[in-house]
Amino acid sequence: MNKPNAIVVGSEISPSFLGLVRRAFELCRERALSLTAVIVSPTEPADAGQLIYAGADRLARIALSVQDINAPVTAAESISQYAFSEKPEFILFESSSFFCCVAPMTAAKLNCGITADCTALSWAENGTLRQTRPAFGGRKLAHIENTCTPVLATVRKGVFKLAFSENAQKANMPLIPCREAKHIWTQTRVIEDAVFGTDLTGANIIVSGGLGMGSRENFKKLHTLADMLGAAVGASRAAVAAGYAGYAHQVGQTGVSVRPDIYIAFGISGAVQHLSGISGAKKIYAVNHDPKAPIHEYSDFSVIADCTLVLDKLIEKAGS
Amino acid sequence: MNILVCLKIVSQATFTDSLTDNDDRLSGGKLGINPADAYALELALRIKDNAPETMVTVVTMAPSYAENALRDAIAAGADRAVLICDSALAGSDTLVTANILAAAINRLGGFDLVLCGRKAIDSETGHIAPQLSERLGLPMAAAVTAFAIDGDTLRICCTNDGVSAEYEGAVPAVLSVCNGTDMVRSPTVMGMRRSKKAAIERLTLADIGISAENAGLHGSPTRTAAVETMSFRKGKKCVCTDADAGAQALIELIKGGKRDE
Repeated sequence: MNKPNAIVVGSEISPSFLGLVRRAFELCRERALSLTAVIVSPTEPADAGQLIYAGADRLARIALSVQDINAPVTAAESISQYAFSEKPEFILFESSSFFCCVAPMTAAKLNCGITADCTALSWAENGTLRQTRPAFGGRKLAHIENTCTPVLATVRKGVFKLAFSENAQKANMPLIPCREAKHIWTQTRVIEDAVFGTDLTGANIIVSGGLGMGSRENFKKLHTLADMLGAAVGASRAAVAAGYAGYAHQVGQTGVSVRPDIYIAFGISGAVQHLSGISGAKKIYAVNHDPKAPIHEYSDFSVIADCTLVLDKLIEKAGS
Repeated sequence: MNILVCLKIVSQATFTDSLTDNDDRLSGGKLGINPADAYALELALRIKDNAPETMVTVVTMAPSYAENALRDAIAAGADRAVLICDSALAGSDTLVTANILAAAINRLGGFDLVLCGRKAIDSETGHIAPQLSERLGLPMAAAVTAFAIDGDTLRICCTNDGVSAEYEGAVPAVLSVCNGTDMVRSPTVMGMRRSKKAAIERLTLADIGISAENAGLHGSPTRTAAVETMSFRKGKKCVCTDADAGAQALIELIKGGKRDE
């Protein structure tokens, strides 16, 4: 605790979180800060040493579950108390539905600024941490600076990535003091179990369907393809409205903004609201029988043919 | 039952104009209620449909020009609209906005539920609901797609990362509402008539007991140092019109990753 420090917070050790730790480490190195990596998890992760490899000087754990609807307020309390004693320069959170609650609550407790969903971080010339984030559906890029510390920000998943090291040492994670989550909400029913293919924000490949898929049955084939490719399944607003997919799959301005390496749109016409949500994709491939569909204007490769037919053929080819 | 819905008034150009439009249009043009907030209002009005004694109030922090959008909320069925309007508010970030809304909510008083849309489609932060819950000292739930009230019992349905679940809690609470797939109601003729005559209540910083130095850009811990306009990607327009050849090409593109660069 001799050096001033910084904190990075996540819930699991993944290439995306390791990438964030590494970026935080690079920022810390420029300012001679020490870095603490905090994991929110009820159990101690087996591969905590990966965080040291990524650049963390110290590790800590908060024993709460990110699945627990009652946990955010308790996590915010615990992190803000930790921040009161540690006086960090910045606290970065991996963007997830859990931390998107926890981070602004923590900022309110600390009475300091918070920026959502950053895609780049750097030191500005005036010595403050500059946080860059897209807004207006990716049409604007805002550079945010703070007038006081700590600087709090959530960072979009998958922006920074770092592969696991085979040579990481063993490390343990001491616990940060934390109350038990205060019981506010009682779960009465689970309606739909987590299905593979809904982690849209962190996905490398997304296969997505629109109204052109024609039926719920056809739409289900997207899941088959997604399973084969290790992809997530997205949907246009129209497809969700038609009941082909749940809201969790909705991509676009009223759903999730995504930035995969590859986005494949089946039977999606390409309404502005949808295109805004996929503007961060590295490659967009479109399958739509209508040559006039706007999506073709923005795609890197278009198949102008019946989307269910192409999907069937893709599944066949991916399987062989 | 007394429900408050926090609205953000956004430029309609944000979600209707073509992607090539430049910045001026994004902050100008016709104003409307942010879609997720409109959905939150819809959920509140459904409670009122079944329990007509329910009082639905809408509040926004915005310049005077937001008044028409508040009248839209009254036309849809809201009972009361409040505009927090003060020249010292310009440049407020999310923390200050939550502070101001919380002070206004305390000043107005007596709400069983405070609803916010999950995110605004212009700034896309989703900060207000968690920060309001912190400032008001009320429990909060996020990603709420439906709710029902039975006495003091509040039943909510949340959809998070692909899991939908139902929970029971109690009022008062702050709920952050996701756009569901149902349609938001259109104003009725009666509603339109009522909205024209309705008085929009105004609150200034002095009314809610916050000093100018704690508001606006001056009071905000974050500020926008610079903004860049991104040009939306244009495709390469490679086209294949044969289903089988197209599927084959797609497989190769997927397996080759970025090979076509």
